[in-house]
Amino acid sequence: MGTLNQKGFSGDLFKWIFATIAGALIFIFLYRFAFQHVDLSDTLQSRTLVQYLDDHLSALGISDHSSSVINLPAPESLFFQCGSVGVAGYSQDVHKLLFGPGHVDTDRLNVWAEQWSYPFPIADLYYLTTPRTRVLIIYDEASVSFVQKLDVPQGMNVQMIAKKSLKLEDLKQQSSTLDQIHLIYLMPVHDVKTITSSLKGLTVHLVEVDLKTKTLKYHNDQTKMFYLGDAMLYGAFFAPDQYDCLQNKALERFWQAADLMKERALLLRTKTDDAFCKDVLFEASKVLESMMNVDEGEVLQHAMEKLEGQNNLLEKRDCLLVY
Amino acid sequence: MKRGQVEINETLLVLFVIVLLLIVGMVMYFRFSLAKVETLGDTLDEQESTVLLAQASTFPEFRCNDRDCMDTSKFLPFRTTVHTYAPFYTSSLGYKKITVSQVYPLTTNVLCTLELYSQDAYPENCGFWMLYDRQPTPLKQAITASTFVSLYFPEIDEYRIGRLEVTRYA
Repeated sequence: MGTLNQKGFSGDLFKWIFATIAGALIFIFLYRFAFQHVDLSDTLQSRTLVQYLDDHLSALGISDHSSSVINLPAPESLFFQCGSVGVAGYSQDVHKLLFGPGHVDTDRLNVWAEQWSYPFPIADLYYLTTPRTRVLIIYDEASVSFVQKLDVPQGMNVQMIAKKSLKLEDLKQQSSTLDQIHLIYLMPVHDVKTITSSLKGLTVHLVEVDLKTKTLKYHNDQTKMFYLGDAMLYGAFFAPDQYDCLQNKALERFWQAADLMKERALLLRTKTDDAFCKDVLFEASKVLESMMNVDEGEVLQHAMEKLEGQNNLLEKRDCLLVY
Repeated sequence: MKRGQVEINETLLVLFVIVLLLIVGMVMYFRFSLAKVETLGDTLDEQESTVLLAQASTFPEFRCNDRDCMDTSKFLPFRTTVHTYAPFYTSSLGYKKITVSQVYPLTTNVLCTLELYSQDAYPENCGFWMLYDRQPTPLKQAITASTFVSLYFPEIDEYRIGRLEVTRYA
């Protein structure tokens, strides 16, 4: 090993320093390259998975009232945030009304698609759940007829139970291995504290539905919301914590559909010579216009009833229909 | 040249060759990776288009109420809706062209417009509707897929056979 001589560094010492610096630079370069490659592979894999989920959901939406199971090759950490699907750091807005858990680690998703019409076609709604999420619909005598009509696919892990048969202690025992439990009360809830304390230790989402006023209350954060049609209500069964945001997205789609139907009514009006039909179609277009940018459930429900009346009137007189 | 200088030159040469080999390797690797990513992108786009073709006829914007068909009276209003809600449609549909043409009974190959719609001869006076069209610049390629659909004309309360075409631009 060389040391300092009269002329400065010896050749050997220079070579060692040079090789060390060059080696370190090459090592850093390769190290960074390897990490970038891993990042790229992960992003590609995540993007492919999101696209796979999106395509699967789109295909499901083709037919009305269809359900399916999406099996993933390996357990994944999935995020469903107000219409966006995310996997491991990559997120994409799939432009769908997806009612599902905010975050879930799973290799199996149960999916259900339903066409949302109120009363004209508006959008396809998608509901997602996992085997580790349980939805319990609690009914009383006043809401039993609604439950009897309810047609939720079996795989969605939704159970109906009469309030008098509900035993919270048993429920806690049965649900101890689950990620979360959604309690949907189709009646006023007066004993929120008793329910939450009885199910302490479980992740519980508590929703109170008023079928008469078509409103719901999410007790976890005291949010009051509304729904337009049963398909939208089902969204609260599967994504109670995200319903508020998804309700706004759903409203935007509703306004789009109302706008299109308004234009359609005005167009059809030009195709009839009957003065009565012309008048009712024009009035209907005004009702549809009045719905635009309105975010009050009661106002929209009232307008919809008016529109239904106008449509029935047109049907009776053998006119062209609004929807 | 002194011995020390020769050794340094040798070291530099070896280093240069190693770096050169690394760079060549990297360039080749990136080129293969890029080709792989592009192929994957094309495959995903193709899948998306196939799903879109199957799905488009059931879009709430076009579909009949309670029936498995496309409501032609929604086609012209949809053009207005696309403009009004441009951000939503451009991001959800992307660079695509969606057209619907009447196949049976055969009519003229004329684009249906509001002007033609208002005429008494409608729907015999036109044959196809342009529902959506957004092209990238520059346009590299366009791949079209089509399927048969059932068309409903509420104005004459009649069903006809049509063809739905989805063109994917790249």
